[in-house]
Amino acid sequence: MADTAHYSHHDHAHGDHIQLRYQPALPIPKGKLCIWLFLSTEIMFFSALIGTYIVLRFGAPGVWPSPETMHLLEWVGAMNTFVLICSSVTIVLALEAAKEDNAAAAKSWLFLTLLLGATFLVVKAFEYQSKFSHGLYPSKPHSLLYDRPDAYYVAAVQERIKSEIKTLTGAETAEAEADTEPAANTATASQPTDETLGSNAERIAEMNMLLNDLVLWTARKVGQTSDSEEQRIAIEAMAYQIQPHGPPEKAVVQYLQIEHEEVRDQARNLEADVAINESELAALNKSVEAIRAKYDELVPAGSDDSVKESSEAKALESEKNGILEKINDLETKLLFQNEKLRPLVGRVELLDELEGDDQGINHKFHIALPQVIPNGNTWANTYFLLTGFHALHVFAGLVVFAILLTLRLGIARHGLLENIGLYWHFVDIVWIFLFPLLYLF
Amino acid sequence: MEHSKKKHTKLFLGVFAMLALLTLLSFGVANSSLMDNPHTGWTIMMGISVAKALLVVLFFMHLRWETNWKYILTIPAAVMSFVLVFMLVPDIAMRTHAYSRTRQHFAPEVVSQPGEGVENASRSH
Repeated sequence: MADTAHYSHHDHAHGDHIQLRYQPALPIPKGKLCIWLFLSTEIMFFSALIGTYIVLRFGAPGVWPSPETMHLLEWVGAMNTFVLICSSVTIVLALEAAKEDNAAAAKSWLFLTLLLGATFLVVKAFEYQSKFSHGLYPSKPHSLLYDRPDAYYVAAVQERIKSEIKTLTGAETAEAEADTEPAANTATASQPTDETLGSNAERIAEMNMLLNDLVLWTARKVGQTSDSEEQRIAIEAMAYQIQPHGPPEKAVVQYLQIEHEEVRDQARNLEADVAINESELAALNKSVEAIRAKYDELVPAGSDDSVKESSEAKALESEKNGILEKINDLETKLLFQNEKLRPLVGRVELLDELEGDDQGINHKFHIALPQVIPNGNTWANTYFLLTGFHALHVFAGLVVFAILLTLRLGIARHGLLENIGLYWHFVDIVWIFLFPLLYLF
Repeated sequence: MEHSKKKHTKLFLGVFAMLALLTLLSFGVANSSLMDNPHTGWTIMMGISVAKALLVVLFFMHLRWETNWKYILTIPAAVMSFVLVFMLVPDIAMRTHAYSRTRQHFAPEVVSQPGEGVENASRSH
């Protein structure tokens, strides 16, 4: 107080009361102090998000998905970093120009900053698009990511194919006919109905093949064994066939090879059996016809009962009945054999079609089936959360730039430009940390 | 004025060149020495990021030419952000180190034995 009293000797014009002088707490303008306080809250905000990512990523059990698996291009991230660094330089140069009262130059530099920031967002949009097109979303229902090859995964693939068939046929018969239990023992094919459009028929046939020979086959395999490792390998094999992510497990490759050979042999043997039975059936049918002919010869139409009751006629009758019974048995046997043969043949067809294919069913059949990527959902969650919030901050910055561009950015407004520059540099710093954490780790 | 009135344009362009170089460097580190030991690679990359951030903060944000208030603002904020993250590392980032057999069974993939670390986990591959 004594100091201010001394100061106020100069201001005695108003009388004897003490003139208090404003002493700023900090030697900076109020706006600058406010923006720095805001930035410290932003530091807290992004520390929380980045910290979450760090602990989740290093605490994730098993393997963290590689950038390749998640369709992340590191060089695109590096390019975006460079774009943002350039925009930082341009806004600093805008400030320098404003301090010299060169309003035109300041405006040009600021406009360039706006363009560079917009470029960053456009590139980010392309990156997001490439994730979405491969089924990588932050959360369900759009996300096609499953962490483990288990029964839920098989059920999800089944649901996806059935809904695809449903949309194609536009009928509800598909759902009614096919089994919904993943561990069912027999598969009933949903045959395309006659109402299907000709152009969709091929696609529907493809989907039915996938449903029967891929999903329901695997489900049956899983249900037939009680060894959990075998079950896992069977579903892993299916996941690998749907969407391979890097080199497969040896066990999976072996499983597929062995299965291909085994199923082919089984199918061949069964087909041979069926052929034998069918020829036997044909022979039996022929002999029945022969007996019928003999009978008709012996007992012409219109004969009386005495001829019909003769021992010869009765013998023929009983012989015919015996053969008819054999035919009946054989037909039933053939029915079961064909029923057994159908999935085998289907599976061999599918495996033959996928022979040598390393792009996966999703790519070959242009369908987006659920995939198994361990820790994939955690990856997607953290990636979209961090980059999404950062992109929102970038967008907010661009909006403010647009508003500033309508003003004259001379020496009078250099403080305003400085403050928005501080915000923009902070956004750049956040990205400087996000880039290695998300793309390079 | 917080600092001298002379133009710093050359300085800013120099800082820009340095930032671009450091970006390329971190990109290079990611594609090379990470093969040997991920921990060293990550530490180097974080060091590069901190250096880049310091360059931006000191020069672009003009803190180099500010008075002592900058320490009051930046140091507690930086300390708190580091402390927050590294306090959570033992609880969450190292949680798989204490997994029981039963818990491992429900994990997406086979987890390493406790203490081995995630990088040395016996992968299903």
